[in-house]
Amino acid sequence: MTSNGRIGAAQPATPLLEVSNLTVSYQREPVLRAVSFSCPPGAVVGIIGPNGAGKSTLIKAVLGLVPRESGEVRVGGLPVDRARDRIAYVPQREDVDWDFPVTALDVVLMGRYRQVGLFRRPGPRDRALALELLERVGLEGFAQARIGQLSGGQQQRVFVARALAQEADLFFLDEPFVGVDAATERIILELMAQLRRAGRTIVMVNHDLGVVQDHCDLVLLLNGAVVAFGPPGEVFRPDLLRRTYGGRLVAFEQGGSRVVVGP
Amino acid sequence: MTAWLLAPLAYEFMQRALLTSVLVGVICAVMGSYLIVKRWALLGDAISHAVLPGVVIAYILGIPYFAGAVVTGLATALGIGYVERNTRIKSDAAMGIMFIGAFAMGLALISRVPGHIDVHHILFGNVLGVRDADLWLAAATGGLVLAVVALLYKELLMWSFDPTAAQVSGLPVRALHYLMMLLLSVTIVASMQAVGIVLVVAMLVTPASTAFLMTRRFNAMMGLAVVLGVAASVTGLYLSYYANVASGAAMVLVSTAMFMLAMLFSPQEGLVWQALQRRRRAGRIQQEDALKALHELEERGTRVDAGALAASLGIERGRAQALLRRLRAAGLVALAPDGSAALTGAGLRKARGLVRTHRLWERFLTDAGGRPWDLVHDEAHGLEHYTPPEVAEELAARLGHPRHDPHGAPIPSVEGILDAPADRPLVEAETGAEVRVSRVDDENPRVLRTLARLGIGPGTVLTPLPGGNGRVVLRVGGEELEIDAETARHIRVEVRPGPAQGISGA
Repeated sequence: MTSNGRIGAAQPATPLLEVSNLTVSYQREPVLRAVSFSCPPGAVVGIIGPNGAGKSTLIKAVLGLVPRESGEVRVGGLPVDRARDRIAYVPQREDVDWDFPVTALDVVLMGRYRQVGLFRRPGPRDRALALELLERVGLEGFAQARIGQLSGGQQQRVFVARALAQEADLFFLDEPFVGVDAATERIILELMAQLRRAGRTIVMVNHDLGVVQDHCDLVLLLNGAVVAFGPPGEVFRPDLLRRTYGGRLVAFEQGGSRVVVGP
Repeated sequence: MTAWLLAPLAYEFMQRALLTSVLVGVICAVMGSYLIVKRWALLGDAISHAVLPGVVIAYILGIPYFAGAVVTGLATALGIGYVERNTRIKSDAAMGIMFIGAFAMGLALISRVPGHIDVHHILFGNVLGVRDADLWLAAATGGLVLAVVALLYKELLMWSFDPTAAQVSGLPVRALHYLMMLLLSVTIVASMQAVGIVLVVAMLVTPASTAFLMTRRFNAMMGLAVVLGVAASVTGLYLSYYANVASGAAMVLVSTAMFMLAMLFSPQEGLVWQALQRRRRAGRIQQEDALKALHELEERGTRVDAGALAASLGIERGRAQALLRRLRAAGLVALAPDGSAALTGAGLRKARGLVRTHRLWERFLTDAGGRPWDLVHDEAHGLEHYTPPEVAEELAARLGHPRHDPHGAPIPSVEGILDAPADRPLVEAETGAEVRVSRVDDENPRVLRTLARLGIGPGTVLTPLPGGNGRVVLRVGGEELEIDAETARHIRVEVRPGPAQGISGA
């Protein structure tokens, strides 16, 4: 599914996402230090790093959900606040109240709200699109189910369908495969591949090196600061992984063989 | 009845009270729906208490009370947010500190104000004493709340369900947050005359919670909350008028009663409904067990009656009698005048279906699940009552339509035909002649474990030898074994050896 280096060859296209010198602190403790990277259109970008490396914080700071101490985020050349209609976000599962009285269809329709506009209700065209998206994530027949009655994987697929409903150019997924079944993982990866072919950009936080290696065009190794950024073939090197993960053991595949990096 | 309802409305104060009650029911239910899903119930309580100093200050300054009330209510809500963000104090403690502080400030001011403020009225409300100005305030608040919710319904839904995604999509979530806090404060102040600031939180929280239990979409929840809220406040008003109960208390009690009813009786999630379901399920399981026991008694050829059923199920004779009567009512059992019982055609088919499911499960658990054969009887017993026929057939297909369970007992066909094998107890077999084990009684796990250790199971060919002294001697594959008579009694054998079956699970 990947073709490492293809993105590199197609480079000088203007980056869709450009993060420069981003620094974030929680209670004066720096969490991210001078993070810079940029993503071309049509790339799948994986952010990996140990627990506490600031992966989710990076996404949240890019999206303006946590205050930036310094630095700049541009989407398609514009400040992120002026490009929000181009961005879709799939939050971590634990951030959602699953007891909320909404149906799967209601949630997917939320993806249409921005296009629908203020003071208006989603129309038949929006409903048709939402139903079609539910079908694409394999949830036809679940439109009227309350979100809390679905399984973890089904809930995640509803949120992916909502992101698709936004018809965005840039997708952020925070740990999309945590607590989901294998079928859901397959469906989401397939949708990501389709989006990528359609020229969309996907940024995802993931802790599974295998998934990142197989499905990402670019990988950001993060540990408070950027350790490395580039195609998986270039950044999955024992020395870089050791610098990212510190003393922890990390296993990954390289040239068909399994490599374990230790302290 | 109509006269009873209409008579009070001849009084102007009752007309005002009725209108106010309806308005309070509506606005509290609408705002309360957001309170429930945002988990703001305690914040509602905080704002309502913090209204008190504002009322007193407004009285001192001679300005309309609601202006002061909204200001101190909102200021306290903002203060709570400030403490939360800038210290390590969590929100529940921050609320406790700020709202009780504000409330105490109100009480302190009242004690020093010359003239008369009716504290009781502010705290507990009196809808029968509502003035025109209060009614107008409630009406204006109602208009404002409904207009905002109608115009911003989808934005507020997104804000309450997933504030993070709302913010990412560019919704001004902070502005919505403060807007809802302002509406909440205004709602509380407008409801003050009817239910008082101490009780108002119940009108916010209770109808909405009742609706939350009974619906699965937010708009349905809000609609139902409005119906329940209006019903509670109007009923409370009449209780107050006729029974002379304090109006606020009456309204709250009616809505509390509604919540209790919903919690107990609402379809599916109601506690009573769930208990009934459990009872019905237990009754069905007992009937199914009785059918199987009757079938086994008939197979054995002994007399079938309440006493035999009671002994076989380990229940009292009276219970067995009642079970038989219920089975007869269901057309599964026929009862003779002498008290003996027999399965009807339908009863026999149902019993054989259960036996089939049970034995298929045993087969599945040993063959596919790798469970030892001494445990699968009980495990299959737990499963058989929850296995629909189509699932049992799926099992049969996966297993290649087995004809015997792991203990050698024949599995009835889908049509309910049971091939009774021509076998007899091992203890009755001739000594010196070769026989083949046809089946082993599966209800005694100890015996099953002993036999598994000795390698004896369905299909084993053996020759009984002369024994004695309560011991049974067998020759198995050239070796002589000795087993106790109790174990031997559980083995049945065929005289003419047939094809081997194997002893899976042993």
